[in-house]
Amino acid sequence: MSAANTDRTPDGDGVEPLLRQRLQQLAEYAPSTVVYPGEVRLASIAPPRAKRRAWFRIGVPLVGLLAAGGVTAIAATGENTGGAVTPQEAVEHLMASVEAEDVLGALDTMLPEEIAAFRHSLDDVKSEATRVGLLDEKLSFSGVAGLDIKAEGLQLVTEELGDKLAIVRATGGTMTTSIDPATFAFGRPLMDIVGDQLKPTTAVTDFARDSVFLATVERDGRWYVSLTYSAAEALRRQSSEPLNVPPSRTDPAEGFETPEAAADAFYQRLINLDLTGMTRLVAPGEGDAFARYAPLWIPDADAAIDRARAEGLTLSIAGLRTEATGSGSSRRVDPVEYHISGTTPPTWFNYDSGMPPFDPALPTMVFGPNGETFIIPVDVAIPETTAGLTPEEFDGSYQVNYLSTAPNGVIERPVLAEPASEPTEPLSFAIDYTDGCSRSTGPAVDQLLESGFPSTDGTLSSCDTAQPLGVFSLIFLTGGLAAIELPPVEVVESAGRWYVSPIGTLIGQVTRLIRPGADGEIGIDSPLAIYLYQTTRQGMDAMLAAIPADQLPSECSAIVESSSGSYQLLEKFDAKQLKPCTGALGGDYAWADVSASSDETAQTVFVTTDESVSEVVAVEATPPAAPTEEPASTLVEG
Amino acid sequence: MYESVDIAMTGADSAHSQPDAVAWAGSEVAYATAYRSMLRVAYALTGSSAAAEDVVHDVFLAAGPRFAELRDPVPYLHRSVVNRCRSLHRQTERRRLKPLDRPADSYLDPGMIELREALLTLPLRRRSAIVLRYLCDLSDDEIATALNCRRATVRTLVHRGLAELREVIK
Repeated sequence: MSAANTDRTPDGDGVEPLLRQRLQQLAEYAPSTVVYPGEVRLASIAPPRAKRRAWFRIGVPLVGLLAAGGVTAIAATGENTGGAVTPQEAVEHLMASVEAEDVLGALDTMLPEEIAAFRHSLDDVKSEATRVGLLDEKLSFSGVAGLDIKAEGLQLVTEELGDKLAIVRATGGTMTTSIDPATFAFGRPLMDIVGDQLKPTTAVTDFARDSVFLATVERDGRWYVSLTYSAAEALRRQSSEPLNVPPSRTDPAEGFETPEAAADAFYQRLINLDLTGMTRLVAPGEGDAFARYAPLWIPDADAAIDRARAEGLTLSIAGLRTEATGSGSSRRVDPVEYHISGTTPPTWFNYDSGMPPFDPALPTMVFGPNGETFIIPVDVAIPETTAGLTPEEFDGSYQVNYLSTAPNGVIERPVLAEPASEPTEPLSFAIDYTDGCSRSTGPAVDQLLESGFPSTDGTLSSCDTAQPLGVFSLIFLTGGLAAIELPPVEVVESAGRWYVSPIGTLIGQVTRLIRPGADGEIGIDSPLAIYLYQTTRQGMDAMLAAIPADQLPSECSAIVESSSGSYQLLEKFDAKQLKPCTGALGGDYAWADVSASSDETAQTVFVTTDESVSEVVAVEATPPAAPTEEPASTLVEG
Repeated sequence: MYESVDIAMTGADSAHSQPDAVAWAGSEVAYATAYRSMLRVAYALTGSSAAAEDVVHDVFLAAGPRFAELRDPVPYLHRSVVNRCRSLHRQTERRRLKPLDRPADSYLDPGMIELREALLTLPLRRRSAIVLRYLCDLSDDEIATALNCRRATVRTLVHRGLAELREVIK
């Protein structure tokens, strides 16, 4: 491989050349046998990833919608009277229903409390998905057309985990899933947008190679499949915690007289990082798995919180005002006004990456789009593009800054402005939420923005764009100040008291994802945009901002306007015109390979063109799941 | 940017079909070069010859159809190798399998064994950043693409990984 010289960590004390040399020596021990295509076992090849990725983008909402319709139907017909005599029989019934594409039958094998929890909030999901055109009204949940699932040679083993809890593991056999989008009840608007990407797809899960399990729970002498226990047990195994789950909740559920009081307690304990207190708020029944398994991880989480507090973390909330909507035994509670204040540990702003900052006292080397190099002297302003510059050889005899260019010749600016100094004391911040918008201020926010945190207007603010599941990133301190909007909470009534519904709250977040944009359609402003178009309005505007005047591709002219010498998307346009525009902006391959990722602070969109990979930072959008090589499965991996 | 390994896949229909010998015709050397290069990366990431062979075999098996869409497949291969190693790592952890087999110590001098073990103590993302930087000589941009993260994150990963390996290297 040739050395690419942009943005390299300096050699410092000479360790790097030594590491490079020793890694090369170590790699000499690598095997060298090449397996040529003709020697490959063709029978085991996985389906093409490009097709599967399209399905993954819509798979999560689809599963939710299928469940929504089924639960709604069960809710209309009465109580769930399913279950089985043994754990294995419960899973066999589930698999039989799945093979018949019978969503209602599959739900009949599930834990009644979980179905009840789904019932409270999934009506909105289904009706919303139908309304915006993701699904067609002809979808039938007693036999899903276009979906074919076949299990063969299934071998199941039951493992007792304790009182009234067992897992059923598939140790052999295969499950083949085929989807034909031509006959599946996708909505016409969805097909207009991504229909050409959806091809008939078949995936095979080999349980002998990828063993999976489902948890089952006994209620009144009958065994039911439990999704919450399955998820909790999978998490336990993944984190290698010992099987030390109490037979029942150690703390009794703590209910409140009103929905608002239950939600207020949730928000207060969330901001106080009182994990044990939050566990007590979850509703009896549906929250039992959460309450029983949570103590496995709470000590470690509390220890991490204590360490952060010792370093200066403080959080408090004041002026909280909430509004409850809904009827019957469930409510959705939205925070409508609050003021959060606190301090962040100085260690949150540790920028020591080993990279020297951009130094205006040094000349700058610019790598051109065709591999040439240009040297910009210290006293010459760095131009916008490489047009007119003369390539020069650089002999490495003096220090320089390094800048790269986009394929169109636009010189890229340093993405991360290294701060002159790092804070040594906790920094304060305040978050004010009112009228549907939040605004963060204070020294901590200033430091965040100075360090390169993406911001479109120089401030940290957002309006009703909290990320789905953002509440969990706040709980685990992974979102930092990015999770600046408290999410709505679903609460349920049980025996005259109100509790937090974890399933309902989770599904409520999915509902927010399916919610259409301001124009009522699944356009570029919809939370689904990143899945459907692989970009967002912010991402598109960032790409367009790099286009020099008068060089806008003609494919974009119908959806882009020029303002003050730069281009930006129109407020409203036909979403079908996005694809040719993004294709023209990024090259022939760009539409097929725009990928998104998320780290601790922001989402990054990579636009891969024929020539290079350029990076566009977008804020407040939710990325698709990271690519994985593991086969798709409808069961929980064990 | 990446050095181009010009693997000339032929035929538009190969995009969604099985890899076949015809598609690789005329590019056997390039194929072998890319294959062996990925074996070195996978070996450095897993510390195991057998695991490296499995990982790279799977990557090329799955990547066959994909090559027709890529002018430069090397970034894709790097990303796939890292992803496969991550899957392998997860499976080993999750199923509590025995640690991956390592080459007999007699094949390696003590310094190499120490480096290999020190690498394996790094979190996989940090380890991947180190290997892609110092074994493959990739830029921050290229590593960011392979690891699906931001350039700033790459710098942090490399810096922290280097800090942890510093004593072993010296």
